[in-house]
Amino acid sequence: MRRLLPFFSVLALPTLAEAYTPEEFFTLKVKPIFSEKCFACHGEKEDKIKGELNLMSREGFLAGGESRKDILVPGHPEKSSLLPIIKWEDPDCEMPEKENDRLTPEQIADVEYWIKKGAVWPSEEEQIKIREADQLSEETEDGIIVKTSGGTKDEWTYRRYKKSDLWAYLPLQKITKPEGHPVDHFVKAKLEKIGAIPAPKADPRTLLRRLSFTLTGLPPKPNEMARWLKTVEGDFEAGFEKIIDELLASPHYGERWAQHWLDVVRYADTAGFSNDFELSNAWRYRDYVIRSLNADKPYNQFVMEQLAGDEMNPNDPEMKVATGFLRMGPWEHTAMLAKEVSRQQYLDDVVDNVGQVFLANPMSCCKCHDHKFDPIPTRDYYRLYAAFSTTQPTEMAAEFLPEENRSAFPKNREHVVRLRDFAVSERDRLYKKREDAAREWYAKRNLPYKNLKARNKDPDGSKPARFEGLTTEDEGQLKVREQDAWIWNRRLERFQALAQSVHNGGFYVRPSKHLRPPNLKNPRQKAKHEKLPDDHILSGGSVHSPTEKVTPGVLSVMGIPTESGTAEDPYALPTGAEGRRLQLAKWMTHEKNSLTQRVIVNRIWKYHFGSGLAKNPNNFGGTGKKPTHPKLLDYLTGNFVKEGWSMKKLHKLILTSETWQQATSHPDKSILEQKDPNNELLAYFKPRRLTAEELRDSLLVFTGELNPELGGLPARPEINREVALSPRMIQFSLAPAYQPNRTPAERNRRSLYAYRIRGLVDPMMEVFNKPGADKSCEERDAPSVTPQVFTLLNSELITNRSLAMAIALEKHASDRDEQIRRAFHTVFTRQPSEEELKTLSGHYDKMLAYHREVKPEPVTYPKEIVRSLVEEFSGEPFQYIELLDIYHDYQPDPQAKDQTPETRALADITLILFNTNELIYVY
Amino acid sequence: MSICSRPLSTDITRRNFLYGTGASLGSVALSSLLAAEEGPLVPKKPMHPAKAKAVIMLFMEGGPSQVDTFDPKPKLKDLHLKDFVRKDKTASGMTNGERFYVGSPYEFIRAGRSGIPMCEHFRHLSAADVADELCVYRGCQAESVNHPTALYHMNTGNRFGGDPAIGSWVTYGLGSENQNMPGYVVMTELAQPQGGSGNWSNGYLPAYYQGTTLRSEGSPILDLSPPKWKSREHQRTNLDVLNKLNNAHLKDHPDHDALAARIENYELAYRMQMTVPDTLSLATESDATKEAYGLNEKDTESFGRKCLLARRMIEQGTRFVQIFAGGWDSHDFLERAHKKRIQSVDKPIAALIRDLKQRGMLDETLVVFTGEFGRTPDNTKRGGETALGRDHNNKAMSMFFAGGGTKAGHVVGETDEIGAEAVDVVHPIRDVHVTMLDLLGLDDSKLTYFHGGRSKQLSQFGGEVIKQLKA
Repeated sequence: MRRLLPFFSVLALPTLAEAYTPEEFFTLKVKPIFSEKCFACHGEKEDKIKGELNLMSREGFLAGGESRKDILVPGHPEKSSLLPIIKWEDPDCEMPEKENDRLTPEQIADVEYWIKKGAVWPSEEEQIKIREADQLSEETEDGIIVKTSGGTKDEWTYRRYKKSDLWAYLPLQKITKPEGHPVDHFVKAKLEKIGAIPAPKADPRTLLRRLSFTLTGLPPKPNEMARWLKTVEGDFEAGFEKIIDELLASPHYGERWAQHWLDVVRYADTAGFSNDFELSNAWRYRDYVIRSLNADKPYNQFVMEQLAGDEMNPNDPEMKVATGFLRMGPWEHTAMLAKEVSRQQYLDDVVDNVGQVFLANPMSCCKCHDHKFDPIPTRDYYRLYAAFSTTQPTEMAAEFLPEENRSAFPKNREHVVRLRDFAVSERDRLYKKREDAAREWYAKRNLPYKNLKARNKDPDGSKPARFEGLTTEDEGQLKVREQDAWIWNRRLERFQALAQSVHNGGFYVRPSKHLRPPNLKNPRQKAKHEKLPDDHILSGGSVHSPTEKVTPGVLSVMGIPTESGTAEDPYALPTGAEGRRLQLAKWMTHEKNSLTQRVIVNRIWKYHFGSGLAKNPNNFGGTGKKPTHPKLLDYLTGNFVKEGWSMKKLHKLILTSETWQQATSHPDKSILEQKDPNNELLAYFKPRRLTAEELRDSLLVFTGELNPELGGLPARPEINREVALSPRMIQFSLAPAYQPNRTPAERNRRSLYAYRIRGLVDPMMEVFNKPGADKSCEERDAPSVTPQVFTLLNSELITNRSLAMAIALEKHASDRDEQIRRAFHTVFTRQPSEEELKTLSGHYDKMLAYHREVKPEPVTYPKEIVRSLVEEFSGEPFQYIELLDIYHDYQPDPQAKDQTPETRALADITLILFNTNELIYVY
Repeated sequence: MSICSRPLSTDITRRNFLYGTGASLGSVALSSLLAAEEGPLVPKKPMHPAKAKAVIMLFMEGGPSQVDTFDPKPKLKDLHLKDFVRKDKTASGMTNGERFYVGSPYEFIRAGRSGIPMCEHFRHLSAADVADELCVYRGCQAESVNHPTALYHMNTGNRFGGDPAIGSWVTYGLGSENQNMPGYVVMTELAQPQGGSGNWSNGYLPAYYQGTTLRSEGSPILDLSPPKWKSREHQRTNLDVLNKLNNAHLKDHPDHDALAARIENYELAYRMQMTVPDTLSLATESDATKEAYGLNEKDTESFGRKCLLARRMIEQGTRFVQIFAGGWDSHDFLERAHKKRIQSVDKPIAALIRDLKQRGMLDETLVVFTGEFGRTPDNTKRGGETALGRDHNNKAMSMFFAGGGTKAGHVVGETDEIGAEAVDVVHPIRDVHVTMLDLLGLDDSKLTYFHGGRSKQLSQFGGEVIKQLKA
């Protein structure tokens, strides 16, 4: 019998195969490998056996397959062709064929050892006995068995996990507060181990810029910088703390950190797919996030409200808005889709994202099978799925709150009504043309006229043609106008007090263009509403293959009972229509649920340092990178909960550390290059590039154009006009053109407020790596790609910014050198060196000479646009006119044609500054 | 990219800033410069010997009807307008109402020596020298019957979007032969397809691999050129000053690698402003070529121009070109609608294949013609009228390949007697993707990227090569 290993020496001991009997070795070590890696293609499905090779038995191994008969030669690993195949050394056959499934060297060694010892294969009964005996030992050299609600196979249920892979599911380590600053304590301890020292503190100006961006996403203004530099003179620490407090109290803090959260939850103002319907009033959720962060709402409350606000307080409109979280994914249901499939798509999306966002466990990994790497059985996927199976996406009535910004309503309503009226009148014109022809048709036959509805069911031939009297051009136009009329009618929902939310009940299917609560006075709807769904494990993830029934529940791996749990099922959630999400939310924010807690602490750390202590903020499972500083993470997490789940307090703790305040350069990189080339141990601060939003917002700050208003209806900034006007397919028609707001003040809001259309991305945002709104983004990418240059050097947007700044500079200073100094000061909060000033003033003069000879053309704004579309009925392109009402009395940004050569020469200087590395990187 | 192509005057200054005044064009400077240019898009060796080096994917958006293009079903003519009973009630929401069979309004011809059946309106594609290059495949099955999800599926391997497009995977795996042009180029119809840029997104792959949309008219790449009142010399002067500031900054931050790359990008951008319009200019193409591609006819001009541009870009080293052609969603008036669509692409595609062949490029260029799904053999009443069109069908479709190591002059796979469902050599979309990668020398199971807790791949969870398609 195998000896048990003392707990503390798990990692220190080598594999001791001799500790097993051959039967044990096969059952506990080798069979699970075959079961996980081979059986799916070689035996499990009798009708689909690949390569005529069945590996479900020893006989099958010995018989071999289509191409090789010598798969297994017992006692002779060197003669068994299995080995080169699983080692990927056989050029014609590498198995398992996927990189993901490839065997580890340890697994290969185990198979080899098994063959060497005669390839023993005990009977099924014997295997069960061996497994049962093994389960008695909690921990062996293979790791520990984790108790879950159970897998679909015993091999999975009783598999063992390395304890280090389970770090995220284990309780927080209890760590007492160390001497000195806790962040520095743990970071320095790790650095000392490799003999490295931390970098010195960055200089105050650099630090203050870094601080301003990290907390508000905005650059410091020159006067702010001057004031702050005074504040930190003398007692730096005290002064710096004061400035942290000042910035945390700024409303821009909530905007900046809301952006992070919106990346994770995938905020957008439209629903994507065929129609890309507007998610009317989605902005209320965006503003709810901003308000919550500014108020420093405890994170546990923030989580609960988003998952179950409606159940916590059904009468509070804000709570309905908060559950907008459950509506953030791209989703639609139209008549083109099978309703069960759309419904599953919605629930799969919610389950996967609840897993990623709050628990750093992408749940889709266990939708079709038990989790390959983590102790999450597919049963738990469907228990969590059941937790939401009475949750129905719905547009709910929710009164506007006094703090919600509705100032843009009147102007926006005018715009919507104007376009609606245009579409309706064009549509009606074509209706009239058709019906006039229909009247004629009936008259010719001496028949009484029947309207469209009345004649609909009449057989072909005894009624006018479907498009009677219309040309193919008219046919196409009519379809477009009908679509436009209802698109713009629907957009009047913007001014209704409703929120994208959910309600509880049975599945009553509604197309996603109109997701109103069921009408309970209608018996059919009432019956559907009251019939609660049964939930099952779906075989292979297919909605058409339900297997075992499941009831709502939470992730069993955490071992934390729910309030609604019972003795038989401690992890159960309620089974009625109501309260499933509330109990889930309570479990999620349970004081012992270390997973939820570590996840948010790690995210906050990540946004301050560029990468998390655990590098995959959406994946804490065995395949995610383990934390570099587990003790620090656990200390910060414990402290975070103790301090009332306050995000602001956590920010302050991090920002006051020497670690965060280090310079980006290091005096002695030689050790680091060898032992910590990726700076995981944080010997210095990693510079980062501004995000797309920070860059655009900064430019607006420099030019003085930024309108700092908070919240409200999505703003429509100028985007590349070709893209704005380029046609975009939606079901049956083209989407309306993107039209910016009429006035600069409306357009030049913070980027966070820009109308986020899933099917139409702002190219400037995209090129600077704003993530797509389909998948949760844990970390943004920031590579340098060439199209960034085109945007930042050539675009109309950047040209206008460069002119706007030049105009602003000229207002404040008439002297060329003073203007240049001021430009430097605004953008970099520093004075130019003598050499820089000389270069730029020389350049200014040269450019001035150039601009004196050049006359810019005016920019023209189209008041309408001719659209061409290929009509599916005729296969012919047809044209129609789209009204661009905004451009009828548009207030443009500064135009080159109106500027003097001096202004344009100065705009060359500002354009250069906008393109510098000094601006775009934060040190 | 070649160092020679860089304007020398600016270059030496720049290099002096970058590598110190002591550096010359000697080996040290040269090698560091080359090292700096080992970017993510440099050509990479395939994993196994490749048949194809580049791909031109012709995407017929809306779902062409297999039974009206490459898969004739005489039986449907007999059944025309007779009641149809659908077997599968779960397939889609389009199952309601009175349904009837719709026979193809077209005659079919047998083209070339290989006798590939084609709709009579493929007048150019059916020429023997072109038809005998085609490998028609009738076995593919899509999953989704909704346009955007099916488009995403065919383009990215994932129905719900957010994953890298096949062109992104290919440039990730092979890089691109021309560093002054985008490696993955997309040209859309008048309107972007449903689902928009998600169809050519880099997904979780680094942004270098994103498809660049290229307009065949006007400025080919967004903001490629400055406003007209800024000349090229003017821009050069601005760039020189910018370089000066950026290089001074670099001296203060010598450890920050990203800085040099960003400086280099400005130079590359400056060069692209010249090379891209050159590549896209058709001035050097003969009148005969333009005529062959259909540039002189209204119906074919737009698609023909894109096909010709595709050939030019592939010739200059672009790895993956995708052209969308819309309007195939014929729920009604199929006869005139599909005829028009066929006529708008027939001549350009034939010219493209012939042109590639004459230039000796067809062997190494994989041409793919596909939609996002096929169409049903039956239809329903629309607007109270017997509509002669077809609904979406995820069980059968026709696509074809040419060149790039595919089996020329063959029809692979088969559908049932009414073209409703594939019954022979049946494969899901992922296997088509895996086969395309395989022809390019890439192994789908090894071409992976670690994201969200696992190594992800185009096929999602693995697929198989459709051997019958390979020469």
